[in-house]
Amino acid sequence: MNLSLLDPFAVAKEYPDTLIQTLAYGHSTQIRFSQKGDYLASGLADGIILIIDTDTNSTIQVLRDHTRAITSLCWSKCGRYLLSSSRDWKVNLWDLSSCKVIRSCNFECPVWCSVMNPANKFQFVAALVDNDPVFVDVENEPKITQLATSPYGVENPPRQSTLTVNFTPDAKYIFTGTSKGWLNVIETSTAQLVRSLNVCGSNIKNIEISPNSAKLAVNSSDRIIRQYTMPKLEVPVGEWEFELENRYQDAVNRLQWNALRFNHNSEYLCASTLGATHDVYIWETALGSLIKILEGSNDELLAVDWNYRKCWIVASTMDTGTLFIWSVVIPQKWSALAPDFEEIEQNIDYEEKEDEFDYVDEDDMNKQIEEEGEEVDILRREEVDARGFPFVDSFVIDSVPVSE
Amino acid sequence: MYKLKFALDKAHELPVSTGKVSPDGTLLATASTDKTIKLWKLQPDGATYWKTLAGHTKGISSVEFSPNSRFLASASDDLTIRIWDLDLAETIQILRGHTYHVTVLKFHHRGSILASGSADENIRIWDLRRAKCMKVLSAHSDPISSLDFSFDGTVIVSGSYDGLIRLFDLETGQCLKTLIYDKSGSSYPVSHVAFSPNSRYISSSSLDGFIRLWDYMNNKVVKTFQNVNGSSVAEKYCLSTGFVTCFEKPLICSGDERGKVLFWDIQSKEIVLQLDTGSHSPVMEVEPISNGKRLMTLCMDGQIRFWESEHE
Repeated sequence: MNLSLLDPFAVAKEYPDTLIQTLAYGHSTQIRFSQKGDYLASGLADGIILIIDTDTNSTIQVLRDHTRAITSLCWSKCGRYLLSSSRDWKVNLWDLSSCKVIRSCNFECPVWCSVMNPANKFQFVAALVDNDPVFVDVENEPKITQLATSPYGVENPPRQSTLTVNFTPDAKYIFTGTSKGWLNVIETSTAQLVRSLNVCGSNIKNIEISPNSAKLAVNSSDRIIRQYTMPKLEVPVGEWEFELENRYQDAVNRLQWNALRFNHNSEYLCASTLGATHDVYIWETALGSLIKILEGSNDELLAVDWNYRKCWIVASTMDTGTLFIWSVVIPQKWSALAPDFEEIEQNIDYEEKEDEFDYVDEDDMNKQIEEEGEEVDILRREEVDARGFPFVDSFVIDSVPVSE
Repeated sequence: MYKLKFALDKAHELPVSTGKVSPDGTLLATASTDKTIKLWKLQPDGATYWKTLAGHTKGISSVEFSPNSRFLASASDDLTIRIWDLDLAETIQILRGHTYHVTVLKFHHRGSILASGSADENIRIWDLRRAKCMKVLSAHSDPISSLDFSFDGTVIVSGSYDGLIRLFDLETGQCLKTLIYDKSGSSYPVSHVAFSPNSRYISSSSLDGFIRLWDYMNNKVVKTFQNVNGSSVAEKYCLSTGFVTCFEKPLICSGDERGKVLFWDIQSKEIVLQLDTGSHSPVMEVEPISNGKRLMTLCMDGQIRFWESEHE
């Protein structure tokens, strides 16, 4: 509700521009905002996961079970469950109402990353080191289904492994990326490989699909992020078209991109850099132009995430694991301090209005009371805030006051 | 529309200053000038004494349950706010910072933030996880009488004896808007403010004896509520108001200074019900429970009554 009362020009800004805060809560290796952006999960190098309240920026819960660095984090839509993977070869599903592990799955090798099925919190897909990716159902006893790595319809493909996995927002397909630059599409319901696309010749490090399912970005170790239009998921897989829209690279500094995120409507893409510069780059995705470089970090950046509702970008640094938060700074409107204050661009000559110093008698209030005929609805809420995000009641994680 | 379920008299030896029902509806906390808070377990037909929270060194003017009903915050004239663990009946935090009597408290709906208003003219925002003051909102020039959060927790509204109603952004601490009613030349102290259930309107009581409903986006009063025959609701005391939404038409309710609780139809501004508490003292608190299916009233002479609606 605050946004509708703030300066509309500041609220309309779509990406952050100013470093507002740093948080040094342990050595963070992975970060992820909850769907509503009210909590931030930060996975540490020692396996601890912190839940940070983004209103107070203090840690309200500490999740302890993993013993090695956290490699990925994934929130459920409702905000009550969190999936975590770690270098200790384990994937955990946490229930944040009790802050306990409710499902756990051990693998025989380290886990690159794991992603929760957007439609079912008990299912996830994971990319394993030197192994085929797996689809896992942990509702009862863990049921592990191996997924293919060799590209579809290619004879004698070179040996390769899957490095990254992701779900489409509608949960019908799984996109995976291999060490030889292939993007594989797997149907969730059958766990069958149905399509492959050769993106490049080197490792695919990340596959990002925008939340509105409009764009796809593939980050590979050839220092290029390739942005495709997302195929229409309703049509048969054979007819899908991946149209290469933009290629993002920094040819001068030869930067490697570490992690990338789209904003909510896929109009912007941000990526953290690995190399000589310590910045977050933001591109506008229609024409592919670089529009902002977020500076301020003194260290190489690792994970990055975008909080759309608060208009924050957060990145973690490699050496210290400190979190850097960039946002939009909204200036105080001085006219808010009194109802008759007016903000003016330049001095204006004062002209007395006709009735300005007229005597107002008591009847004026009675007249005003008589005019109060308008319909008043005190129950129906606005559906969206001033940035266009719906007001949703999300899960509240218990925050216990610490005793002195 | 309401029938008396049970009464709780003489909760404290000294006058009762405030009382609140826990969000889960199982507990009642009463506070008094005797420096203690008493907790009562609520049953459908009575309240039984549970325990006493003692620690403040001066009288208590406001108590608030945390949203999960496990903690209680209390504001005292001893300049501190105490956070109590109800199971242990112990103080787990003492929040120091206000330089004069703390008058009012409000929890954020997620329970991690507490807002407090004080006679030192400031509002403080506390991070309860770290027991630290996050922000001081100093924009009023008289004691703060009342506070409320919008339903999404992003805006705080405050009412003060300086006659202003101000809205603050929780995230930045900036003043977002100021409302003042000065049609008749002067502004009376604001004694109570509350957001409507959808947070589109603000109800305000002021000591000129009127209750007003503000459309704050458009800076105007859309409804004015008066006592019978246009007389005043309250001119001396800060009496709370509440929204009752369990009936066909939404109502706004407030006590008056002669022991009556008034219910106005929000649309027509007419008094649809007068509830006689049986007391002749001001009705300090009227608290609708479950949108008004039940009701708690607390009068200045210490009389506490629980009411139940007869039909929905």
